[in-house]
Amino acid sequence: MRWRATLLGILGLVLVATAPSAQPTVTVTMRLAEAEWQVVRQLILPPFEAVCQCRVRALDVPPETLLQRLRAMQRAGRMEIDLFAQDNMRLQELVEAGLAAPFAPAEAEMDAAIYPTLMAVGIIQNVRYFVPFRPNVQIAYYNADKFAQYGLQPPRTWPELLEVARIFYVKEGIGRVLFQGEGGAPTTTQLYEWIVAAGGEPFDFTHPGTLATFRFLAALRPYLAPDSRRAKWNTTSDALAQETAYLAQNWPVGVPLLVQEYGKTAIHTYSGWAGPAREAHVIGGDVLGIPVDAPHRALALALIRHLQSQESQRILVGRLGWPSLRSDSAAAVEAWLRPHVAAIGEALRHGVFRANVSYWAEYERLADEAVQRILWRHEDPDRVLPPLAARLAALRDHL
Amino acid sequence: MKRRHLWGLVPLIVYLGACTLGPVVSTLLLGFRDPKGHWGVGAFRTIASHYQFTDAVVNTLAITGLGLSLELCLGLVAAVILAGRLPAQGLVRACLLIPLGVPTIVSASAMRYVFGTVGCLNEVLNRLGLIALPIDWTGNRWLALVTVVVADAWKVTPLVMLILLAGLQAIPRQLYEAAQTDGAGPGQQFLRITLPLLRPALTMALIVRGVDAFRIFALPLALAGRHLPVLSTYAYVEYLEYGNQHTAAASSVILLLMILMTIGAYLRLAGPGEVLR
Repeated sequence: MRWRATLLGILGLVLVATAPSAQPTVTVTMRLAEAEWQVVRQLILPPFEAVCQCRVRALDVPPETLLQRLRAMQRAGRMEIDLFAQDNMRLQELVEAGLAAPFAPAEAEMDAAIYPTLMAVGIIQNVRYFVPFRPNVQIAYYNADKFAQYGLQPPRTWPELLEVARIFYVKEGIGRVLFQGEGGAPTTTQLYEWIVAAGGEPFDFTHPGTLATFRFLAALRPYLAPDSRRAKWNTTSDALAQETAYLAQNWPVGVPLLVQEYGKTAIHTYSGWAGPAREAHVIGGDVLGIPVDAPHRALALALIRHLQSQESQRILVGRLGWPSLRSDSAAAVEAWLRPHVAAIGEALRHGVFRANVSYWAEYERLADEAVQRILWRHEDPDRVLPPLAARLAALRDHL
Repeated sequence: MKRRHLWGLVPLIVYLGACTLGPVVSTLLLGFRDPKGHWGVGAFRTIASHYQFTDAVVNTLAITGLGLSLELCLGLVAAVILAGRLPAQGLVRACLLIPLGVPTIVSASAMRYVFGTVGCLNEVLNRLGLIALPIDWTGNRWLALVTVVVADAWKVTPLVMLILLAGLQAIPRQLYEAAQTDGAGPGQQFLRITLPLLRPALTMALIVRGVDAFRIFALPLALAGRHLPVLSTYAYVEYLEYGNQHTAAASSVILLLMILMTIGAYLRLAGPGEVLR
């Protein structure tokens, strides 16, 4: 008798747990840092849940695994994701795999305050598959105290950058300029904008501008901070905070972290330096998309409007220092953040979108190899690049 | 009765098939196919021509070899000390086992605070006046290897120690008493009694730790990033960064072969009876 009662109890619990809830659950995926999730979960999503009478399940999904997850759900005939934020460099593969649903013209109409330049990135073969969410651009962080100590100005050109790096090395016996040389997306992004700044063609390793970039990197190498070897987006703020680096490029998300959390008020920002041809900064960040067969498409569209709204953007700008997609969010910024927002605005003025090519992953592998061998294995760029250029050309022609 | 016993094996067979053999076979198949589904060794050819693959193989072997040697030496010393009579033996034993309970990723992060450019080790050396500038512990390949081996030894030596301690405690005391009566010194007792009778425990420690050492992942990734590739991190980068499951599977197959070959070679040298004792 007793076991029957236990069994009935368990059965009851299972039924309660699996019973359909009165409120629908919208599943959204993003890749955010811990501090960013805190703001999104505590300040951005609750107002939407209250208005729409739904629950939002927010999941952290890295951009490199989103495709696999969506594909697995589609194959299983059970799409569980309603809305995803994805790196604007990984969009082509989602469209090619038939995983991103197109927006109808009426659905894609955006608020007039959203920067029109940001609308270009979501259109593939004349169809809108994605809408703007979080534009991003890297700015240069520098330790103003250390620069003042050695009578230096933040570099505005490549020769100035080399000179600053050399002086730090001579004065302290160790490099203090950081290059994100760990590999992968951080390295490729930085490399891409340096190549454009040199007037080069990122997808052609034989282009004179591209060659000039790698030669400049080789010249800069002896003066780079040792942490450059392991530097990526999430370690750069640590290097600046611990003062193992005095100058580094990174996304603006590091500003509130360095200034507010670490109390590093001596760390200032500016747009960065120009190459021989121009100043160029890759516009990165995420766009929003709805998967094919998303279970709650209407709610997903409503959530998009909410994320793009002035209220949400003001919170994201004010709390996290995110560059806003709206022109009417800057007024909400606190005084201490204004110089940083100005630096972001200046960098965005020199913004470039990376070409969305289907062979990006393979390109990243080749660019990685070039940087690793030239920077960390001290190989000659003129020997490393020709065979990689041939492989890149073959890849381009093949696809 | 016999048939009923066979039915009892069904859950075990299903478990082994689904959770052990299935993934291994599917990884094998994945390694021998290209993205278009054609069979071949293209994935193996791709990784063999990659500039970091040879480094990954050499680093894996070096970390395994150096790591096992260090862990066995330290583990044996600790086990011999603990097998004797010590004051507060239980407390000492518990303290020595603490690293074993620390999750690998936590110990990897902790080791970054030790071996980082502004880490504790540089700070101590600096305060002792031994260095003026911080040492980049993972800047040079061989130094990075040693750093990873030391960091790994901190975490896993207690496991080796436990296995060897169990082996030591299984050796009958009478053998030592008889040797003492015959005039054998501590050195002779160790060489003639302890080591030969500890061989099964040593074999077990070598196999358990050897397989684990080949699969080392979090420590090199956390300490040295991609600059110290080992086969598991190489597969991880291929899969996650470059989205190539075939080359990732091919490098995993090579890792599996290396593990099987090493275990086979050791059993051949030590005799297959060792693990069965």
